[in-house]
Amino acid sequence: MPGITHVLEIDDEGFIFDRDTGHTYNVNTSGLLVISELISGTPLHKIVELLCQKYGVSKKIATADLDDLMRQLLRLELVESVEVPVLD
Amino acid sequence: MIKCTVALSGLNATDDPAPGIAFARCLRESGEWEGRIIGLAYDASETGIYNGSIFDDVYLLPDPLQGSVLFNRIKGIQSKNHIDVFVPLLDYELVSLPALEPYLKDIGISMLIPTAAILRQHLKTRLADFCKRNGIKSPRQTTIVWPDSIGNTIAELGLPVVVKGVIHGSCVAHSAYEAAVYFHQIKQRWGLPIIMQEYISGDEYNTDCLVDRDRKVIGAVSMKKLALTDKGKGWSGVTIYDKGLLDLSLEIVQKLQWVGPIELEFVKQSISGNYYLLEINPRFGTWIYISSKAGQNLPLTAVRIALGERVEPFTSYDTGMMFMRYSLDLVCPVSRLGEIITSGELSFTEENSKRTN
Repeated sequence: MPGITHVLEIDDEGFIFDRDTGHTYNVNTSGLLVISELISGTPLHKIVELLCQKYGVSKKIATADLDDLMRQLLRLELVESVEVPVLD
Repeated sequence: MIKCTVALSGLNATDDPAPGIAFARCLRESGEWEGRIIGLAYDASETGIYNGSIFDDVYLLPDPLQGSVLFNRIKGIQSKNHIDVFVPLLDYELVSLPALEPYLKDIGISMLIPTAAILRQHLKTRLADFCKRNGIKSPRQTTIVWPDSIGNTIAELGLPVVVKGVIHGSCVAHSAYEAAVYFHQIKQRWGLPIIMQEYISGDEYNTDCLVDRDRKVIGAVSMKKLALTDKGKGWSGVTIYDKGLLDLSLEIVQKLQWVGPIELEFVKQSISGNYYLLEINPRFGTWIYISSKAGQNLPLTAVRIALGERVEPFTSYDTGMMFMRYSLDLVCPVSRLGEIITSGELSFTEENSKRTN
């Protein structure tokens, strides 16, 4: 299960400070939800469900959006791997 | 409450600042120190000289390379204005001060600096050898004395290349022509030799450490530079906690057998994520003020150690504390410039006592 590899300080507005590297990021509310859940250790398929519930989107769209964000996090070395949940 | 008089140098506060003002602010704002701060300058153009809210008195000193002349000047100041601790904050002062330390001690002035032998290891010309001997990653570098050597050096190190002075000054050159221009500029200001260093692409990080006389690290704070001036100086930064960086910093400090304040400058190579040691400064960095706001007042602690106090090591600091420099005009009568040039000293004591009363 991919987890966040760095220690991140996050505020309610989506501003993120990586205390390991000093880098800063801004995410929108859905990004904030995903990253907060990743830090809590929530599995990706559960995060997809949360996105569907909160934003009323299909599982297909939530999975695609999560996959996109995970790949960005991978490029930023904030996660070690991307394990995209398989669509039913 | 610590009561003592502290003299410190490094008063320049331009876009290539020295750490003196930052150090003094750490004392003034600590609430744990009471006393006088004496500013020591080598040139009347050091801008911090004119800041009466920081300094009680300011004195001009002679060239620090003239050891006995420097000692006699400090001895003269000591007779008027008893100094308990002298904090040298300029790299080139450390050439002569280790030899003067016992004599300064005899007249009642304490310092917290390493021995001359330990100091020699940090020199920019010797840093690559130190790193090689101790398995620490550092950029490849060559020392040159003739501009004719620039072409061959670039063939070896590639472009861009960093051109550095042996004491201070550093520029990134993108061509042999640019490197030659920087060679002459740095030679004129800081003399020969010139160091040409491999350019490592990545973010820059610094760690400032404080080591007591038993070579125990008492405090360490790491910072990522967020913005640089065109001279490559950090204009903004944020405290971070990277265990790998801190462990590497402590390893270097211990291998150097350092005593006193020290700044380690690193670049984190973008492609590998490895830290490369760029430079060691035998003093706190110019950004040291933030250490006091992050929970480790390293300047105040350095004064306490210099006075002979035993202090417990800090165990943590706040991350995410950011500093942002800004320029400010100091306004004073031009007679102050005349006073410092002609008499070599400037006193704010009367002015400050009026303000307090």
